[in-house]
Amino acid sequence: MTAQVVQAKNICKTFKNNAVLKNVSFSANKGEIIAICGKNGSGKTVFVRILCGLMKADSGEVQVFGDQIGKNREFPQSTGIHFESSGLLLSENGFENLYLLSLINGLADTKAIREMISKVGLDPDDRRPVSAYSTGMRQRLGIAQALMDKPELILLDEPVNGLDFAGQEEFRKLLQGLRNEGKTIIFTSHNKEEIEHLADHAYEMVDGQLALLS
Amino acid sequence: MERKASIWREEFRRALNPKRLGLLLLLSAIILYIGWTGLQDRVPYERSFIDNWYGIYNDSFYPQLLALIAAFPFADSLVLDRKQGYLNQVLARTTYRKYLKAKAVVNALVGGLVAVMPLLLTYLLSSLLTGNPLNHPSVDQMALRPYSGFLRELYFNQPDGFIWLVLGLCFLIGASSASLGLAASLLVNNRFFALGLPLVLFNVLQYFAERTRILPDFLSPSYSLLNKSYSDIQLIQTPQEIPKLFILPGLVFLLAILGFVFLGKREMVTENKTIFESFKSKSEPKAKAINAKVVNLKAGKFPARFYSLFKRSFKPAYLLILVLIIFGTGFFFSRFLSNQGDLSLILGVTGDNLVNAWDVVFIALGNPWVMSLLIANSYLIFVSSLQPETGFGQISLFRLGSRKKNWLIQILYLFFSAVFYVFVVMLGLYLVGIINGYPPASQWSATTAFGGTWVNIPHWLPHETSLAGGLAMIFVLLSLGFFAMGLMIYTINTIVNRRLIGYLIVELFLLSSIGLAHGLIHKAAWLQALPLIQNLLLSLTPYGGREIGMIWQPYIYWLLVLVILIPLSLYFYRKQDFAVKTDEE
Repeated sequence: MTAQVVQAKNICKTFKNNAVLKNVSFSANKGEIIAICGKNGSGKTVFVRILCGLMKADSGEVQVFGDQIGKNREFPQSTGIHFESSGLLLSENGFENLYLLSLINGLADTKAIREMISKVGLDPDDRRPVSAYSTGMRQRLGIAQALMDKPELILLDEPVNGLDFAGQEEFRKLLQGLRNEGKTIIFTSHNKEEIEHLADHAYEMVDGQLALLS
Repeated sequence: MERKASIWREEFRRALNPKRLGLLLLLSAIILYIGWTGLQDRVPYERSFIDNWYGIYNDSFYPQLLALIAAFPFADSLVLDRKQGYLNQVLARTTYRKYLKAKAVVNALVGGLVAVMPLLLTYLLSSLLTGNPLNHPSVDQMALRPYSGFLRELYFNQPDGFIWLVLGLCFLIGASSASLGLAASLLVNNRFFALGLPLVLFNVLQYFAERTRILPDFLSPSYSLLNKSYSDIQLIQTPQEIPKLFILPGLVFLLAILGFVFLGKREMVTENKTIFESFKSKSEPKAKAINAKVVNLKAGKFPARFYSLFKRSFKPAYLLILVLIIFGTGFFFSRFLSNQGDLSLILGVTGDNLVNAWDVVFIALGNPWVMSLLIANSYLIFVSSLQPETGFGQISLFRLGSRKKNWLIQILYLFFSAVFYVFVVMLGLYLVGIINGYPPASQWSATTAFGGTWVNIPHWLPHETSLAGGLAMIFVLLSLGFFAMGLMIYTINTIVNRRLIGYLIVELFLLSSIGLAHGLIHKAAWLQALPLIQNLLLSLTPYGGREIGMIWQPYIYWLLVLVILIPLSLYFYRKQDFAVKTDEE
């Protein structure tokens, strides 16, 4: 039997009379790659933010690794997150950004940081501040940040936005490698075609509800 | 009907943002009301409409803040356009040249209008509500009207003409300030720099032209604004001297235009580079071995987490601003103290320790204007970006795994930054006092020991406590006060989930508390203790008479504020939804 990593039940979220999520239920098992697609503003990002505890659902519950998020735990354990607005300090270089984050939980040492930066195709010795990075480079660094602690669950919001063709191909290989290691990956995209060859299962967010695509 | 698309229309629409304009109007109304209360106390005679209008204008600190008010609507718009990527969208639809031209002109026009609008409304209200006849001789005894010369003639014979002349000058100074702010953002791509540089420049000019007399009179902003509070407008005796009033706005416009020409090149702006950054990227090798700033802290422990927060919250530019404020304030008051040298003769005090370097600290920290506009203000700016969380902050919180722990680290950061800031300011002012020739000392100066009021402390303080005790009292009071005000900003920003709002509200309360303190003079003691400024000074403003038995009041005040705000901030922080934020806001 496959272990359930994420389970969301009847999630509702409303912003100023705009119901973004209406009774959304969802589950993800260990070792799966799951994609959520949908138009801009359909609620994909809100849903992922609720899964990781950065936003609170108006009703419903989220369980990650058996912990109820917002009740037993505020944020899920062993989880890496990356959002489209990559959350990097523009005045610092790539290594410094990841190093400062590693100081908080102490799960990645400098060697692991350097390895992860190289793994996403960047140079850990690049001294330029992140403000000088292209959009694709920032995405790569954001993905490295999500992976550097070697989490079991990885939540990625629009990870291929801004990546060039080669970058997308590298990203696909990276995901497959992570799945082979037994990691669970949930990512969002606004492009249906893009996710078809990346994900095991794909959902579409339509009118605040998740519909299974494949 | 199809609307005519135009970059001018778009820029005007953005510049006339109702929220910002509403906030400015409110701020201006409070500032002018402060002038009104001051005028009521100072000139209780039959004032005509122009006496009221000119009195409010002079007795408020509106002319001193005019450069900031004018820059506020739109001078930082280029920074936002560049950082948020909006510039790219605009440039897909129009040429860069048209965009910059439209922005420069709209910014200048709106800056000028915003500077004039509150004064126009005051003019309207004053005309409608004042029934007293013109030129009543009783008012002539007070320092309100021009004493002599062409401007007196104009004031007495054509009051509306006089008002329109002042309004026109305010428009020009406002437009030039806004332009300078916009041009400054081409040099340093930062909102605070764009909004604050005109204010700082105008105050520096004021100091050097009017106080030290190093620069000619016509370079003092109050001269060009016909502001009687600070400059002697009697210097203008004939209509032929009027063109001198336009020299300052002309020069500021010229400076702004030079900025647009030399710093506004398309490649520098669209590539988000200032002149410094473009120089830096040329001189710095791209792939040199990194000098990793690995610190000797155990990751995952409190000091490492605190260091991470410090690194993302503290910007080196803050130090530069702090040094400028300390030196500017320290030199100003050192000079002021030297002018008071005769006081020791009047008091009959003799000896080597007539005035010492600690007097510079006391007099600067006891001045309500310096406190609210510079010292407290800059601290509030430094800590105003803690909430809402940036993208980096959200990831940091996620990695920490606990909102409460993250909140605690931020609250401690606020506390330690307040303590450190006050320590640096006090030490800095003391050192500037020594640089200016005042002796370092371990006891009260002889003049201050005679009565502390002249250095803005209660008269009884030198008799009741040692110098170290007095310094400790100020240190603790300011640390508590700054921490509490920082926490106010933190809580407001957490609730509204917007940056800048908390800072604007708290700074507005702080500034307006000076006027409020005037208005509450004859009210109940507990009401008098409410304005923020009364609790940042050992003395009371405006008359400095805090009694010995009441010295505990401000400490209790801040402790009460903290007792309310600490749990409140935690409550809202735990409730907060972390929406998408970027670090580029």
